[in-house]
This record gives sequence, structure tokens and C-alpha cells, in this order.
Amino acid sequence: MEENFDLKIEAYLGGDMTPEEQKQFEEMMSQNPKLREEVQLANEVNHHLNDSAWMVIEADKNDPVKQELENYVKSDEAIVLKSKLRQVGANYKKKRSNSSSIKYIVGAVAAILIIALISNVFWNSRPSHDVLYTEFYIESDLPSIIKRGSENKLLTEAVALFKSNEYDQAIQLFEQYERETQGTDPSIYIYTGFSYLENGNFDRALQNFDKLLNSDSIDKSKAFWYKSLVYLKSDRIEECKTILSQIIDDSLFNAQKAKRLLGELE
Amino acid sequence: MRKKGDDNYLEGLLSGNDYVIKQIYEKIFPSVLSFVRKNKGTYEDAEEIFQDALFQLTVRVKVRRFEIKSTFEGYLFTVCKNLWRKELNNRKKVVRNEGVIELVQEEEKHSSFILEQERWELFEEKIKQLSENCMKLLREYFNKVPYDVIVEKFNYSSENVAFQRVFKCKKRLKDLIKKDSRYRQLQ
Repeated sequence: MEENFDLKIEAYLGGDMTPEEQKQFEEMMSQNPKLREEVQLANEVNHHLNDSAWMVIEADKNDPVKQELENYVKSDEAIVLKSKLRQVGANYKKKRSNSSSIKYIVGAVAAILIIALISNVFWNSRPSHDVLYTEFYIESDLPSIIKRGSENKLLTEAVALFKSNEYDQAIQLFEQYERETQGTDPSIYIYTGFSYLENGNFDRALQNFDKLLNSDSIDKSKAFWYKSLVYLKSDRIEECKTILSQIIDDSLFNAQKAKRLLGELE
Repeated sequence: MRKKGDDNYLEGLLSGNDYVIKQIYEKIFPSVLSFVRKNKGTYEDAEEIFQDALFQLTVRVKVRRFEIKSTFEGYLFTVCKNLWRKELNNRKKVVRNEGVIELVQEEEKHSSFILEQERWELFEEKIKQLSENCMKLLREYFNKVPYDVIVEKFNYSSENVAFQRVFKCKKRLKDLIKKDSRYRQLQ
């Protein structure tokens, strides 16, 4: 009896039934949950053993395990790790293409120089990265940090210096304020970061945005956008693209703008 | 099976250590890349599945308390192969127009695959409990090795005997799976 059923299941899955037999079998399945399970398992085994097949499981959206997995995937911790993986991947790719092309470099350098020269002189229609930076950096993307009624003189002065482009002095005051408040105000990293960025100290700018990313500020996910601007201004375009893709994929702060900027860079 | 350095890889990955992740890339990515390229994929495809595999490993460890039973490298390569298997099947479906291209949410993509991979590992564990002969026979049969070749290779007296053997081995495998409580939990 059981063997007979197994044979039928094989015939059904293998498409070896006549349309009538198939209809009859499906009716039987609809009334017999145990048979349905047997068919399901046989089907899964077939998929598993076939190297080019893959069994997609339609799990219930409310399944607690599934939900637990998805909640973790959406967590900040996971997003930060994902960004790190992409970054390492982008660096690896860059290094790889550098080393694989090294043998062509000697011959190519001259040609590239000439092309670069010509295109700089005659063909300058693509916006440079600096131009893009000025287009995409908007001061209103920076959260206001003087807002809590309790005015802090040091901070007010620092922001004033920042706004009048006196970045060196602004940095000093921001960092003094950071020491005094012992890191309890993470939005300060944004201002310090942009001051360094404007001064061309890209590493320090990145460090500050990383501090923001690892803080518990409500603005932490904005750090991705700020970092993309650092990469843009410092001509690290592959890294910039990587981070922009992440902003788009994860719908983070300024995802629309990120899409536009990525389009300009492609 | 575990190798020196494996724990280091896993710990480095979990804590987001750039240097260790870079080492993992340098050691394992080239073989994944060559596998994907041999199977209709590009550099970008390989990169995406490699990153998904690393990411999902951390999710599994953190949420499911998963432990790697083989080597780190072996685990990662197997998962990449499976991710690529799934991707190729998706692409085939789109070509055959079996379904509209659905925009799958990022979190749904990861949770589905992790659950499917768990099931895959359970099945694989059960296959290894079969006799050597059964295991080989099933793999050849389901990868479309014709009956007459199987008859010769396994020294069976006829195609009918070969069919009976496949049937019995498959039944044994299904029984092993059914007996395992994880089978129901993963449904």
C-alpha cells in the first residue's frame, strides 16, 4: 500500500501521469494532508539531490524565527557590518585591478597622460567631483545643535566660526566642547567632521563620522551620507559608489539624493 | 576538521574587524569567483553572493546560535554555491516567465535563504547517514546520469534493479529526515 503510494508520488512529480490520473491524484491530495506532506518531502528530496535545483520554502511571514532573523537584519549593528563588508570588498576589487594591470602600466601611462591632457583641455563636459560635492553638500542637511534653550557659549561661538568658514578655529572649539561634554552630544561629530572635510583632512573627517555611526544618536544613519561626501571630495569614487548603493538599498537618509549622485558618477 | 585560524576568522567577522575580513576575502573569494564565472556569472555576481554569505553567517551565529561544523572555508564555499544555485534558478524562472519579477525586500531575501540553507544542511546530514553506495547512487541518478550508465557503473543486472535501488535509497533518506524533529520545526 505504502509502496504503491510512493510510486504514485514519483510518477506525479516526474510528470509521468496522464492528465486524468493527475487530476485524480491532486483531488486525493487536497483531501489528505498526510499525502500532501509526503509529496512535499519527496519533492524537496528531488530538489536537494539535483545540483542545479534549489527548493524555495514559502515560510509564513509571521513565523517567529523568520521575524527574529529579519529584525536582526534591519538592526543598526547589522547595517554597520554590511557596510563594512562592502567597503572591504570595494578595496579588494581596487587592489586586485591595480595589481593585475601593473604589467600594462608602463606602456599605458604615457597614453593615459596624453588622453587626460587632451580631455582636460577639450572635453570637460563631465562635472568634476569637487563640483559635484558643492552641488550635493547642503548645510541644511546638518542638524541644528544649538536648540535646547540652555545656550552654551562655547558651542555658539564654534558654530559661528563654522558658518563663516573659519574651520581651524571651529575645530578647536568643537573638540574642546566634545571633551567637556565627554561625548554625550554625538551631533558634535557632524560639525567636527565637516570642518575637517572642508579643511581637506579626510581621515579625521571619516573618523568623526564613524564616531557618529557608532553612537546612539538619532542622526547616526546620516553618517553614511556624510561619509559618501568625504569619499566624493577626496576622489575615492569606488568607495563613494559603494556607500551610496547601500544608502539606496537600505533607504537611509538622503536616499533620493544618493540615487542622483550615483547616476552622476556612473 | 576545524583548522587553526578558523576561530580567528569567525571572531574577526563577528566583531567587524577590517583586517580579518580582508584576509577572508583574499583567501576564499578567488575560488568563489572562479566557481561563479564557470557557471554563467560575473565578478559582480560573485561579489554579491560572497558578501551575502558572510553577512548571513553573522546573522545565523547571532540569532540562531549556529556553529560551523566543517572548516570556515568549506562552509563559506558551500553556502556561496547554494546562493548561486538559488540565483540561477530565479533567473531561469524570470526567463520562463513563470512569475512577475518581484521586488524582494532585503531582509526577506536573507531570512528566506537562511531558513532554506538550514534545511539544506539537515538533508545533507541525513544523506551522509546513508550507505556509501546509496549516497553515490542517488547523487548520480538525480544529476541525470542515464540508467544504462548507472547499471554498468554499479554492476546491476538490469535497469529495473537500478530503479528499485534508487527507489529504496530515496525511501530510506525520507524516513531518516522524517524521524528528525528539526524537520517539522523548519517547516
